[in-house]
Amino acid sequence: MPTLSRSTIHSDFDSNVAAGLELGPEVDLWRARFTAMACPCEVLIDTSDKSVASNAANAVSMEAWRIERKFSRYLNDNIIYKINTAAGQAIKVDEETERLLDFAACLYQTSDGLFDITSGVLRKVWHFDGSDQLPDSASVRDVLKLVGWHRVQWQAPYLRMPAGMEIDFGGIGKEYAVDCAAQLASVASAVPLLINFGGDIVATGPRTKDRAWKVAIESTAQDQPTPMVELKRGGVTTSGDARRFLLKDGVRYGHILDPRNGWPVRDAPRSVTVLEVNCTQAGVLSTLAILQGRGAEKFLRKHKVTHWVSR
Amino acid sequence: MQLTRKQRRRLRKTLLASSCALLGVMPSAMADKGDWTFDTSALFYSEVGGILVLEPMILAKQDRGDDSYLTLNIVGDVLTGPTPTGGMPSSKSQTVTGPSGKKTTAIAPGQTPVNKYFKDTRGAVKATWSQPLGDLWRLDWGGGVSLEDDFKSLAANALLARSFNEQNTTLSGGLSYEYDSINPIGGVPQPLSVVPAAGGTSPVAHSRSKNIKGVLIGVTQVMNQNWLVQMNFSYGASSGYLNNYYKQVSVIASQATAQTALGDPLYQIYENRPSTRSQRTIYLRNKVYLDGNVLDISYRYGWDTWGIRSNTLGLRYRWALSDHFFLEPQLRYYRQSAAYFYRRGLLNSEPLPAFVSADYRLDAFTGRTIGLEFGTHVSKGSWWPAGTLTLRLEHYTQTGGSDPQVNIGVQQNFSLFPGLSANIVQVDYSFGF
Repeated sequence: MPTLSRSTIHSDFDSNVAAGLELGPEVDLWRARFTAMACPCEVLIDTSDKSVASNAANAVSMEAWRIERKFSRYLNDNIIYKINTAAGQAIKVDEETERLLDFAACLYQTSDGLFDITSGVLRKVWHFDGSDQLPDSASVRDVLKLVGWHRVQWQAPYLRMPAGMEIDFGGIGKEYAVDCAAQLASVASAVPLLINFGGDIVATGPRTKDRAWKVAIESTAQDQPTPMVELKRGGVTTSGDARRFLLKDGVRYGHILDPRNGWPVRDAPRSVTVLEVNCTQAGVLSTLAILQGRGAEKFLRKHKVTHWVSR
Repeated sequence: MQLTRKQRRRLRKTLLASSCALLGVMPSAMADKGDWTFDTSALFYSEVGGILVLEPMILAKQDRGDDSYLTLNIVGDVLTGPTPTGGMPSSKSQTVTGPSGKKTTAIAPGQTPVNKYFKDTRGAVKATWSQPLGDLWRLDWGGGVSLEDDFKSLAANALLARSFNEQNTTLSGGLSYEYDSINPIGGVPQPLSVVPAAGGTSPVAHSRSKNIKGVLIGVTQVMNQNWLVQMNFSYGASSGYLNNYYKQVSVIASQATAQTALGDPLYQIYENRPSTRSQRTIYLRNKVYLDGNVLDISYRYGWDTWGIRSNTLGLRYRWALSDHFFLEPQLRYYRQSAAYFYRRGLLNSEPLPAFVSADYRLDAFTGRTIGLEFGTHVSKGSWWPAGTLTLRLEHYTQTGGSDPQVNIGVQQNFSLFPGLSANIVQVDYSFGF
């Protein structure tokens, strides 16, 4: 599927994040910072008790690192590596991978093929470095032969894929990790949390005295005020192409690729922010909205999604 | 891979179900803001030799987001056919004059007097708003208007519920108020006065009113994942004009005379009921899920200050024949005692009581209902949305009643408590957008 970068969403804190887990007191809550999945991660814990905060932060970071380790496509000893190097052999997957693959299959189906976890190989021909180096049509056509969930035989728990094809949970993994970490931390303690993995956010419940968490959406338009989202429970994600693009003959090619033709989606908004019941759901809808290109706003209105669009 | 229009529309719901499956959680009630669901039905009630009722109904529910709902209920009623006046049969012909004094019904000797031209239409609208208050409380409040040819009603109600014990227990308390104004055609007759033979009345007023105040206390308990118990206590206090101005009571001859046989009606009087009534009910319901089927057993005990005690036993079994089709046999048994002022008729030799009614619904009787409901899912068609179609067929019989004081002379030859039997057909289609 198209690899999307998230614009930074921040909750009035800076994004200068140290490696490892760092816990510090704030005015009336604790903040933990760490790096996972190649992005700054933060947890706000609404408690004055440091040990409670520390336990919650540990649970969240451990889960983020676990999911990264298990599903990163950059490692060569996990299930994704095993699947992508199976060379046409059937691979038996574990229960969690099975659920993710089922979800991916559902996404492919409900999005009419727009959301496709096999589209990552398109990166081989598209390099979004701000230059004017567009790939030629023939090479796009060639690599498209290795794209398409319909070419995959998925009969849980067995997955068989033609050699050369790759799957990549990049489009849902971070959101999934946010939701899993939120669940895990909620089981450990009832303390309300705001979890932010590089702009994919979830709130597990309202702060004390039923106050909402305030989340700022970084607007790509310079002259527009920063929208604030008041969130008590649920997920917020932003999809967009704010920084990664190619520019040729005055046409800006965003890095959002349509897996059906292998070319960038035309007239996609700079960013789409979605508020939903969970982070995974929000991430899918913000991505699908971007993939609609010019029709993003119409799509969001039609499905009654709470959203903010920046063009 | 082409999606149907409906699947596209349902994209968000499909994704939610799917993301919740991924995360291993139950899909929460998603704010599908603005979505409407409808339940439309038509009910036909037909008494053998009696009235016919046609009742169309629309119930529309809108999801307003944040777990709040607006419900609108619109009901119409058309009621026609002969209804008993309460009068007793006679060995001679009788004439029943309608309240307007214009249309008359000739009653053959030995027949129960009825008003053949009885007709009533009703329209009612009810709106209810339901919203959560925090995580544990829910408030429902609403109001309604009901209009008939001779009757106007305004009602308001509120119900507050709180859940406990991880939502396994719900306690609820409610209040209701109803104000009715009764405007009889031809005016309000003087209670206990003699019904003029030529028809028409000498009204004592144009209209009367009554009000009903109600209190409800309930508890719903989830016993386990397959068993739900519901208990309610309700109290209702009515005061004002509680008479039915259509209803009459015969005064019969306690001695034979040259003109009249023993037991023949001499004249009729308008009924009179006490102006207050308080009713209490205890209701207990068990819903048990048995391997995809649902057993529903309910019991209701009611008692009121008019002396009516009632017992209702209900039994339903929803039998899922497949994913798309169910059958539900239904049985209901109802038994009540008579109001203390119920009389089939009065003797001309006895002093006039303060309160008297010959309305058979205030008499002791037993009602039995046997029914069968069929339901099936219907796929979307060229002009109808996908939904659930149900058909309910019921047969009701009512028997009972006695009044030995007036079972004298010619009355011994007549059927004083004919009972009734009725057939009910209801067609219902519920669907959503």
